[in-house]
Amino acid sequence: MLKYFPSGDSAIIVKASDQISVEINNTIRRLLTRVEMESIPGITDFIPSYNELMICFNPSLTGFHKLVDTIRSLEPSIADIHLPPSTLKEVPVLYKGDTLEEIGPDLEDVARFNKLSVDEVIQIHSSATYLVYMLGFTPGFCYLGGMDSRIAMPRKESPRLKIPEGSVGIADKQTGIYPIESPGGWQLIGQTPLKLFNPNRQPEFLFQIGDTLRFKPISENEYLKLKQEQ
Amino acid sequence: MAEIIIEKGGMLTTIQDCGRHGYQRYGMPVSGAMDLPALQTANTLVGNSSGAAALEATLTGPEILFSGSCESASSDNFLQTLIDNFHPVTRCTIIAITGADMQPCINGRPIEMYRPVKVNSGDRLTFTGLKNGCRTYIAFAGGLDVPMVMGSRSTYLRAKIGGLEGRPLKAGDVIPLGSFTNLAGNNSSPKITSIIPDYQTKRPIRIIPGPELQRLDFEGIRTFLTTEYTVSANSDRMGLRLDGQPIHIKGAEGHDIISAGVSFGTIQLPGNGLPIILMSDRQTTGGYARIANILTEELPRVAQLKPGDKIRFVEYSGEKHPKSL
Repeated sequence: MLKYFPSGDSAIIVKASDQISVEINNTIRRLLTRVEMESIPGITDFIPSYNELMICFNPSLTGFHKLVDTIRSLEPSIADIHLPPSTLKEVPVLYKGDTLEEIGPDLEDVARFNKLSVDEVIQIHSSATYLVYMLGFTPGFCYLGGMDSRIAMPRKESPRLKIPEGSVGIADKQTGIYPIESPGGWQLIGQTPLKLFNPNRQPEFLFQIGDTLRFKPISENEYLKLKQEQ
Repeated sequence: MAEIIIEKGGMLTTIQDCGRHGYQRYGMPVSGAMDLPALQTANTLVGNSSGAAALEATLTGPEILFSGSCESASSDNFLQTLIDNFHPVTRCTIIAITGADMQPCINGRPIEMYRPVKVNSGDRLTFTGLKNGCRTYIAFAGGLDVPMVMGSRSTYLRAKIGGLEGRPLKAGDVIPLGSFTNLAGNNSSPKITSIIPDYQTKRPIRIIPGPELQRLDFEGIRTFLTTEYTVSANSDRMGLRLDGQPIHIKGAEGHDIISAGVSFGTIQLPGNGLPIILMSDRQTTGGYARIANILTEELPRVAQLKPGDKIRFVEYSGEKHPKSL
């Protein structure tokens, strides 16, 4: 059952559960699709996450109780929403460079930590299919589910001040890609030449909630070529 | 064409409007003015639409030289044209200054805030120093004519987008002004005192309980609502960090939540027990307990707090109070 919480007087939190699961995330996506179909006046933005949908609104145009009533009336029809089949998108990754030494600085640490070879880490990381549960943290950052726990490793004790855009990292049982240069504590195992976020491109963001991703190991030459094309 | 030339950037001066809406599902922060009503009032005073791009200055003001002429200077009015021809000045634009009082001056002479002021080419805007508040807004008739990025001209520093090259202004920057037709700005119009907010009042900031407030026990709630917190120097456009009595969380649930949406004015409680108020450049989602949210009409007062200022919270109990369902 859905629960409704105010986030101040300018947003509503609709919560589906206290768990992370594909089914709950699909409920959130169905709810988002259903609410968007109504074009309800006063709504300014949506923030879907693992188990919640935040609906932002202009408090001078609508209010919490009015919106809760409207969304409650939509609840019975949420299950009927047909989600489009998930698009599988390939993310080319250079895990270790021939001449580019700055690529994947923590790849060997991740291998050593898990008593695996570097090639095994690459093989495990690039053979799984990952679901984009949500985006957040920085523009275009995907929270991915589905990483094999054999390559899990805790964050670095002291975070790096600058992680270059496109870095692929591991933090505990999560993996992710840094869309813009930012500070961070993830273990960096590779680099994608793709620009996940480019405000001057349509679409601005390569991935969205519900997509599935697969990492594809590439050579340094392919990496340099793709980087030029971006 | 009219433009402004930045001679000094000030501590942190950025171009802002009402923010970048509609992309939060992609993790794109809204940004925009910290004190939105101050930005909107400044724009209205110079005849702009309330969401035009203007400057937000932080703690110290910029120095700005006005240059060029506004297109509306070529008046249909015969006598005015005659005067203009004899008068050796070129009207550049109309400005209005709102928000924190940094004691603005044109050519060294103090000007009033919260009213439109006509400026000529060659005039120089300076600020003597901060008297109160934290953030000052400077609107220009026609608005700042920088490219729109994803529906907004707001600067988002972390992704280096919007405004002028996605960065704070610095000496040597030249920003063109948009053209305007509405000569609403008038030096002799009365100052509208009803639109000037009282940032100085010591009234506690009204909050609405958040979804994870129930993680606090009685003692935690009492600490939250009785402590006078101090705004930390470690605060910025993303959020205000507070120093003071840490708030305890009961039981096993702890401070972390499954990452989920946050909004303007959400109060998060991280593991150290010291609240963080999320502001304009906040991330779209967060992983800390959301113990409360600040009422929208209180946000300008929060936006005008500077490091070292004090803040207290009180539960909002008005008619509109939304309750979890």
